[in-house]
Formats: sequence, C-alpha cells, structure tokens
Amino acid sequence: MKNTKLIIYAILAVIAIIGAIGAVNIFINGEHAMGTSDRVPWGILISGYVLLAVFCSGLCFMSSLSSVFGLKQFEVVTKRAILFAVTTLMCGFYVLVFELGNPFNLIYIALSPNLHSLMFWMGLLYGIYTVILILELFNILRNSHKWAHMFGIAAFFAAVAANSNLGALFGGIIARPFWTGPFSAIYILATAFMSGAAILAIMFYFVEKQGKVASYKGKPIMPAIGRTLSIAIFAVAVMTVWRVVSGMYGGMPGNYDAMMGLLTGPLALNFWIFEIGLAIVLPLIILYLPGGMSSQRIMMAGSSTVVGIFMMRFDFVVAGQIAPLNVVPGVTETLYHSYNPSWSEWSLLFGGIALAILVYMIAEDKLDLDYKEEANHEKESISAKASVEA
Amino acid sequence: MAHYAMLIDAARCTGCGACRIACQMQHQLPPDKYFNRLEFRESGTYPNVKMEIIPVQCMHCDNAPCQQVCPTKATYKRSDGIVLVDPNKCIGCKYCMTACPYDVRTLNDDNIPEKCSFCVDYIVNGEEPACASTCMCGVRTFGDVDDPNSEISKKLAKVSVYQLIPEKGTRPRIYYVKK
Repeated sequence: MKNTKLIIYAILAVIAIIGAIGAVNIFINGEHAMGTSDRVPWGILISGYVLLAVFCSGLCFMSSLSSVFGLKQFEVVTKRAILFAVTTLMCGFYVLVFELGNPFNLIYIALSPNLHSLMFWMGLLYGIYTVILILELFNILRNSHKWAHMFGIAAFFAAVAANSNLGALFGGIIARPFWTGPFSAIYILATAFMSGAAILAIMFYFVEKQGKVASYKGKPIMPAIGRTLSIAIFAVAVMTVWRVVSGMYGGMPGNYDAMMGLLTGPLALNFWIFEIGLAIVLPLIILYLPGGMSSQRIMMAGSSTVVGIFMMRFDFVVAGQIAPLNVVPGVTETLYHSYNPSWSEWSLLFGGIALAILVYMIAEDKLDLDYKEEANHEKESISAKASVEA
Repeated sequence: MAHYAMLIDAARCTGCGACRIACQMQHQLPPDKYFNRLEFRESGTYPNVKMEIIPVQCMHCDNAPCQQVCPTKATYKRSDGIVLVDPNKCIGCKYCMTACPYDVRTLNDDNIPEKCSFCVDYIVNGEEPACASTCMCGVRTFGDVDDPNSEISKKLAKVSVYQLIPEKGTRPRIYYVKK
C-alpha cells in the first residue's frame, strides 16, 4: 500500500516537473511556444484555468450544502472539499500566470484598474474568494467551528460571484456570439456543481476504501454524492440541449458557425464523445442501471464526468474562436480557424493538475481530515443553547 | 480638439498591398505581422462576376470593446479619438484580441496585442498615416472630422457612407464610401 502511494507520488511529481519545463518554455519563448494565434488567442491554458477554477468553485458549493443549505450529511465532505478547492485554485492561478504574456504587469490591475472590465472583476472577486477560502480552511483545520461555518457561508457567496463572473467574462464579448449573453455565466455555475460532485465521487470512494470516515451518523455519504451528481448532470444536459437548439435556430452568424463546429466540425469528436458521451450520457447510465448506486458505480460515473468536463471546457473556449468573425459581409476567410495545443501547453496544464492532486495527497497523509461527529454535535448543542438563551 | 477619422473608397483599391507594406515599414513589423489587411469579396455568377477589395484595420471605435475589456486600461482612447495601447500596462491576457469584432489585433514578440495607431507619432507633425500617404489611388482619406475645411469633412459631406458591422454598436471611426 505504501509502495503504491510512493509510485503515485513519483508519477505525479514527474508530470508536475514536465509541466514546469513547459511553463519555463512558455515563459522564455512566449507565444512561439504555444499553439495559439492572432485568430485563436485563447487556448488550452485558458480552458485549463477555467477547469481548475470551476473545480474549486464546485467543491466549495458541495461543502456549502451543509453550511448554507442545511444538508447536514455534507459536513462529512467539508474538510477535504475545501482543501482540494484551495489546491485546485492555486494550480489554476499557476497555469493562468504562465498563459499571460506579461505577468509582471499584473500590478497594474491594482494601480490602474478598469472597472468596466470583467477581467478586472475576475481578479478582484477571485482574490477575495481565495482569501476567504484559505481562512475557512485554516479554521477548519484548527477545529474552530464557529469561524469555519462563518467563512463557509462567505466562501459560498464569493464562489457564486467569482464563478458566475468568470462565465460573464466570456458572455460580455460581443464579438463572439457563441459566448455572448447571460447563458455563459449560468452555464459555468451549473457545470461547477457537476464538477464538484464528480470530484467528490472519486475522492470519497477512496476515502471509504481506506476505511476513513465517509458517513454521517452512520449513513454513508456516497449515495448522497451520487444523487447530487445525477441532478447536476441532468441540469447541464438540459442546458446543453437548449444551447444546441438555440445555436442552430435561425442560423445566427457566428453562433451558428461555432455550433456547427461543435456538432459536425473540427470539435465534433470532443463534443459527442467527451461532452455528451462521457460527461452526460455514460454517468447517468452508470448511476441509474438496475442495482442501485454503489460506491464503485458512483466513482466510475464521477471519473467519466471529470474526463468529459475536461473537454467541455476546451470546447467552450475554442468553439467561440474558431468560427471566423465575418468582418466584411460576403467574405468567407476560412471555414474554421485551427488550433492545436503545443507540448508546452499540454505539459503545463497536466503539470498543474498533477501538482494539485500531489499537494492534496500529501496533505491527506499529514493532516487529520476525517469528520468528527462529537465535535460537530458539540457545536450544534452550543448553537442550540445560544438560540434558547436568546 | 481634433477628432480623427478615415474615409475609405474601396472602389479605388487595386489590391497592390502597398498600404500593408508601408505600414510594416513604418512600424518595423516582421513579414507575418500587419496592422491592416485587404479582404477580397467575390460576387456574381460566371461569366458575370466581380471582385471587390475592402481594406480593414483598427476602426478606432468610439465605443471600443477592446478598451472596455482591458483590465488595466492598457488600451485607452485619446480625446482626439485614437485608440492606443500602453505596452507598459499590458498584462498580455489577450482579452482585447477576443473582444475585437474586426479581428485587427496582432501579438508582437513582447506579447503585446498591437494594432493600427493611425500613425499617431507622425500625424502630430501634420503627416498622414503611412497607409494613406503611400496609396497611389487615394483610397484612404485621413483627417479631422471636426474641421469643416479638412479634406475628409468635405468628402464626407458629398458621399454616402457605411461602416463595418454597425450592429455591434462599436461606432467605428472608419467610414467606407457606398457605391
């Protein structure tokens, strides 16, 4: 068992190191080391940042199910969800910083802020969210329940604001009809729930397997995670259907072209196999096959969803850009612009993901992340006593 | 205060590309980077076909999406209407490149998304932008639309004009002569 863990650590460390080499290459050679171009300026590093930032928000939402929505059994997931949320967010920033052409100029977001820019708000909101999340984690780890609960509620609202703003950052681009509008913000929020539930499905399968605490008052948490995952997938499925229908309806220039790029064009394989097959259809089949939601099935459904979401982010970012802008009516510059990520981009992204998992696994080893029922009952009785006194 | 704009009479364009080369020379751009381009539009059915050439560059929009999305105000609009980029403030996020409906930004080796500046360093000395001064057919007329005696104001008073993708609400400062 110990050997297996060491091998996993070593593999993750090697991927992270290769990622660091890719990062250095991008830092030295800039755009020349990337597959992006003037026509497709945002590539897999942007989609990777969105992936990691939305994993973070999704995990925060899942942990908030207890503190904000009163679903007490989700108290079991709080410690691990918030810890992994912090590591994924940090690694998301790591990927994003190397994507930026001039990261040293980031100081001008503070010195010369443009309040009209949704990217400025992204910086501000994610900054606030990061601080709250770290404070929540700090208080969770020192078992300060009152403060952890308070920061948990604050983190939920900060996550909603930062996450929906991230979607709105795309939605505010009038030049790209595939993204334009409020749908992008809502879509990112819905997929965040799906991401969070999928990650927890994998995480708590292994927690349960290792004999650690994965139940609330004797009731296993995995079926609840499975049900949440299925609800989130269903919501995203409905949104995807209407996104496709509205994209095709009326043949709106820009939106229609991008949608056809997804359905039958260069992104069709990603869309049908990953976005529809692995992220939506397969997990629902696995979860609702006769025989009930076993932990193994929930984990498999979660894994399938995570792989599908990876390409879902890629499709979302790239489909918006591959359709030519048709600046001059009647001129077809090209059918679709092409984008192929370079090895540096792939390695940096996988390096960032591996680093997030590695840091989490080391923390899982070193810290006591198990849910303590007595401690939380104590907290409940204190709050009940306080309300009676009031 | 001057308010600069450009009038393009695309019907005069021969497609020689001198405007692009003059711009590249003026701004020391490598061959694969350019601030202006020619779009070729074919229409009709053989044998009755025709081809139009439409020059496209930064529109210096009054409601510039690139300026609005820039998180650090690296892209800014001067009071004379020219939209410029301050490379010292640019973080290289490329948000302006995705936000521009005219696809006119190009990333340089310092990761700055550059674009046409209406040759701002030259027009202060009363010169014209390189693309306008080099054109043998006088396709481009550059000038101050607030000055009723400027050449562009006189031409604008005489001709009917259109703008590219006006439905985006960008209010571009480049006008095209309607045929």
